Amino acid sequence: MYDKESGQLLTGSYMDYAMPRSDDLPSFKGATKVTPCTHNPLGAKGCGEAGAIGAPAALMNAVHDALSASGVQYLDMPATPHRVWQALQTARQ
Amino acid sequence: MYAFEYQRAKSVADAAAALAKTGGKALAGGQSLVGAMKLRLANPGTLVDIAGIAELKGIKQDGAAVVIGAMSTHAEVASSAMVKKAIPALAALAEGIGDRQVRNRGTIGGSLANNDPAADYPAAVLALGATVQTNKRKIAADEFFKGMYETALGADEIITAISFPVPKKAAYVKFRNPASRFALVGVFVAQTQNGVRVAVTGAAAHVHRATAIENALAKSFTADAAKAVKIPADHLNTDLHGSAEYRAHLVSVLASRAVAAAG
Repeated sequence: MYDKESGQLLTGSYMDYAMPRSDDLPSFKGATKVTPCTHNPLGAKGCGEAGAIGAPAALMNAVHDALSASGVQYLDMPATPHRVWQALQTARQ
Repeated sequence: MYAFEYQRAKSVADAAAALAKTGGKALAGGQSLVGAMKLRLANPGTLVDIAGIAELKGIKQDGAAVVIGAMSTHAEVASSAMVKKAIPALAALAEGIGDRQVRNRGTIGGSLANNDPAADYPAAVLALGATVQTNKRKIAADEFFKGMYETALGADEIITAISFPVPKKAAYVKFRNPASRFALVGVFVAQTQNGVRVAVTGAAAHVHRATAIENALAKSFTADAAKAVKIPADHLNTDLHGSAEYRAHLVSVLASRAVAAAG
């Protein structure tokens, strides 16, 4: 994140840039589902950064779902505790 | 890091003399100071290492107080059977500082002398009404914390021990900054022999007492009473992790959780 006025980098170290740690990771089960691509002879698909593309959208959908009952219509990433609290305060007013 | 001289002190008197002579800084566990030096935010000409001084170590009971030597590490406080029995909230606080590496090196005296605005120990010292003992005098908690990274300590004054009166009940709850894991806000609530004391860290320039919550809890020591207090956001910190208003909100919420945890 950069300061809007000065352009100064605000998240210059891991003291300010939230790097997920091992205890942030939920437990999960892995599974594979084979769906070959029908448009090429190998049946191969591009699958790079699957976690980086689908996961944030799924997570923000879940956050919106949880907050919708309180009247929150829209929330930008990242869903930090402060931003979620602020969205709830604004929706209540 | 800038170049510096290193001296290992054998005794408190030895360390005080070296500090007075060189104008250097005392090195305890180095968990804040060395990091600041690496970033060239601190430039002490001389480091006087006091971590190995035997007379600064050890935890003992002294009547109705627990006295902790200044060079006791967070891990030693967290695992002390005496602290766990007399002031479990203090042992739990020590267990929650930083990570295992920090707890094995960082010391209570170093943390207090540094007085980081988001440090945990200052909240315990202020809420429990502890006394900071130095090589020159005894300083009451209410007189010790002066400002951001500022204390009542003189240049060649060294914390030797901290005396914590055993409270009737106490608890510390912090809300961690998701990036640094420091306290975005931390609240220590104590029912002491001299009434209810509530200390807040992380929220402002330095640790302070939340007198409005103290007054509410003196009337009714319940989580609801603490939560009902509306804390003004004036003078609280705003940064990219939380606004002053959010921190004000957290003070009441965490105080109520601390009251519930104190039982």
